[in-house]
Amino acid sequence: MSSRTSSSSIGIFRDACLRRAHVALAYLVIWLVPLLSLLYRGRAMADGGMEAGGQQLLAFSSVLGVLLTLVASYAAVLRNLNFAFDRVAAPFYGSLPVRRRPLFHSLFLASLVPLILANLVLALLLLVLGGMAGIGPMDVLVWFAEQGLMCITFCGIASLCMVVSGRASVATILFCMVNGYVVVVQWGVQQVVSLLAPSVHNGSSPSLAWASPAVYLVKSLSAFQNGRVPWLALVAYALVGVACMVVAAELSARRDLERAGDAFAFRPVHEVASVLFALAAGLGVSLTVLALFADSVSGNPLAVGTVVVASCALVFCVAEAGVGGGVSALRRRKAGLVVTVAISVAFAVCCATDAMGVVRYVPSVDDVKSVSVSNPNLTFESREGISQVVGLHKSLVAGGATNLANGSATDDSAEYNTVDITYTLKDGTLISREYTIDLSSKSLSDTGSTGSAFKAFLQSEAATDATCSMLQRSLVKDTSATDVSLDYCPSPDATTWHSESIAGTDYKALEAVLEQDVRAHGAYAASYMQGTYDTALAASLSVGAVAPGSNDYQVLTFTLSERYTPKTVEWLKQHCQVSFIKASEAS
Amino acid sequence: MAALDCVNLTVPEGAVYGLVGPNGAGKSTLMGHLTGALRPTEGTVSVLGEPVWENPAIKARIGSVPSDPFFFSTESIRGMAQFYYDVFPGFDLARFEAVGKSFDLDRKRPLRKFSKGMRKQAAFWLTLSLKPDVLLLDEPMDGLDPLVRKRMWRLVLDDVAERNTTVLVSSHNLRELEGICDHMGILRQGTMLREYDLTRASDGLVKVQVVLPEGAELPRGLWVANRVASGRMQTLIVHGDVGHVREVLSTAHPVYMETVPLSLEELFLYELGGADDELKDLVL
Repeated sequence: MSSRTSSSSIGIFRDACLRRAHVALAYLVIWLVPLLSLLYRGRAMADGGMEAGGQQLLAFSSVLGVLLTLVASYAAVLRNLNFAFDRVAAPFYGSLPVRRRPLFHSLFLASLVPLILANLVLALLLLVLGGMAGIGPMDVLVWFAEQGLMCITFCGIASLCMVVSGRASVATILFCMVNGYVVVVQWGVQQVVSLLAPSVHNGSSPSLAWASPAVYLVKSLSAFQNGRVPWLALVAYALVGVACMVVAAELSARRDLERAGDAFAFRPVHEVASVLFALAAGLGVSLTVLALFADSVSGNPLAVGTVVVASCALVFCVAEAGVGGGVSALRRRKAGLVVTVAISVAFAVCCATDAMGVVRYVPSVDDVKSVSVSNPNLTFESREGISQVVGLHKSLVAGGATNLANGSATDDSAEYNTVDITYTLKDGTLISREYTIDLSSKSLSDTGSTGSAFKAFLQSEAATDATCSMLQRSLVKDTSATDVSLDYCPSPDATTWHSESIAGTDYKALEAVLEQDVRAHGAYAASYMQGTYDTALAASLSVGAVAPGSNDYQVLTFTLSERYTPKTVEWLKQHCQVSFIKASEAS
Repeated sequence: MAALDCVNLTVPEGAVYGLVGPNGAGKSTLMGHLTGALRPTEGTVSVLGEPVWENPAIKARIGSVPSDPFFFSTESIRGMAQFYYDVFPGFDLARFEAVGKSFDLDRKRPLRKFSKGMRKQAAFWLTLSLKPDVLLLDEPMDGLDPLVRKRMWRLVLDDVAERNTTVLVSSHNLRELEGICDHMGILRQGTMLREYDLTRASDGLVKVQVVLPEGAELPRGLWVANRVASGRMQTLIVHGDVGHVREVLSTAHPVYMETVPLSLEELFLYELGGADDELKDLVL
């Protein structure tokens, strides 16, 4: 036998480290696969003369690391603290000659330390072999610090989930809830809101992902590829992990070991967790049901609210009956059911009345990184451009939000067109809105209408500059990523339109005439709106190119018109030897 | 309902105390409190004069064989011994080797592959190797065959004789403890019904075997609780003190008369009033 340790706590720590070493070993082995791949690819990139290949690949491995560390940390803590779920093991651990807190600390450290050591081994490996893949010592240090902080975070959170639970399954659900609950619920709420308010497509408020550590770390470490390490988040979460560990140690000292096998070890935790679970799962169930009847329930607050409330109540009852071992357990859970129903009813009422201001929500200019507007497809990154779009958005909300939210923006006597506004916030959140705009001549001439607001936006300097800028970027000779095509109806009795591609050698001349038209009439020239006038021709010119900074293929389509694109029409007639007919004459 | 309510036990040092009670009486809960595994909702649980809850010094002096012993799933006796060695300061390797001679168990085989009786033996082995001052045995002989039971009791009683170990043993069967205990407590519905010192002669109940002359009747003035005749030999259980009973019986000029010790079963049935259905199970 090996030599005796100086205290029982150290003995328990040593024993647990050795007994559960396989968790850290598995973590180490699983990590080796992506890291060896990383080294191989990094070396290939370095050989190819690409800079910082190793760093970028390390960043990629960091995202993978969140998931791997999450699972490994939970497994390690579960293996060491799961005695509390076993009615045979719990009295055994309780009778060991050591106080509860030191016992907890020993087992917690026996979960954390082997993982840290596994990371250290991997870091040393990277240090030795990383040079050939362009991975420097500082990169390795950053990686090791990241992994270590994440281990502390997830082990701490997992330990708290274990201590308050009486079963491994419940602890697992709690751990998942802590790491993703807010994001999932926020997404669910947004889906419900978009059912009631058709204008809302994606995002209703700034992201609350920070309240879900795993999700937030995945998101922020993805941005690490740009060279930014989210140290603040990593350290903050590690502190949260330490705080969870401290609370778990305190609770472990108060925990009744007879609770082994019960769903929860503490009644207040049971009350809160079961309600939160029912709300999230109920939201998921209701969205599934609503998806089946989306056409009939869209914009119907009563139907949507009823389904949400019923789903939450049903999930609560099913979950509690399952946890309590039968329907009779519900008798003791009436208070929780009432709270669940009350919260879901409040939520349904808030959605129906837009009490949360989702429909009216317009992001602040300071929070927006970029914004794109459809029809025409324009992207704005400058503060002036963003301000213009935010101003347009506010006008649309003020002028037509109510009708849109009720899904009744259909007046047969008017002509409508849809406009998408998609914001990318500085924290990475996407917020999308879709509005249907009245383009009737009455609306366009009516000051304060949504049509006139949109027209004014298109004629603004920012929109004009954005259109010209896109043309300049797209119409570059010798680029294979650009495609310019002319579609037109050759005669009034033609049943199909003709299509012709414009050669790259003509881009420069085409850009000149297009820019003249845009400068004269603003981005309005590139929108469908002017196609509603008598001067519109049965012809359009599409300029498609890959948007800068992304792989998105953007198309700017000009509906040709004698009034708004005269220079372009003239150039096309001469250059392509074609004639156009008016849109009103086309069959 | 409280699992235990104001339970007090007085177990003299070096005694073997039998704790009996029907299923659900609170025996295992009491054992859990005495090992320090369970926290009392009120009051304190003291062992060796000190509270046992969160008291590693006292817990290190307590050895416990639960009714369903715990072992790490992959571990063998040798591996568990290493754990005990690391965690319990009282674990004695020499004692482990010495006690091991009484067990016919494979030290290297995973304990999960052992039968229930073998696991119980392994628990005895490891616990006795702790050299505890207090030995708590919760339904210790369940699942053991009679020969092994006898061997286990011998080990326990040898430990008591050699080291003056104090033993508290719980059982739902009085016959299990016959001839083992010198003290007994009866637990029912979480309360201690009565404690009994078996080393002292009963002051209220006498068991006497008597052979009376042919045709003679039992003299009047005896409160006979039970009478069993085997030929002319009568075994009487009589309420009263020994002197008085012998004096009354002498008036009938018995051919043979001898006072014999009461069995636990008889004590329970006739002195402690265990005739109701619930407690009757203890002697079945």
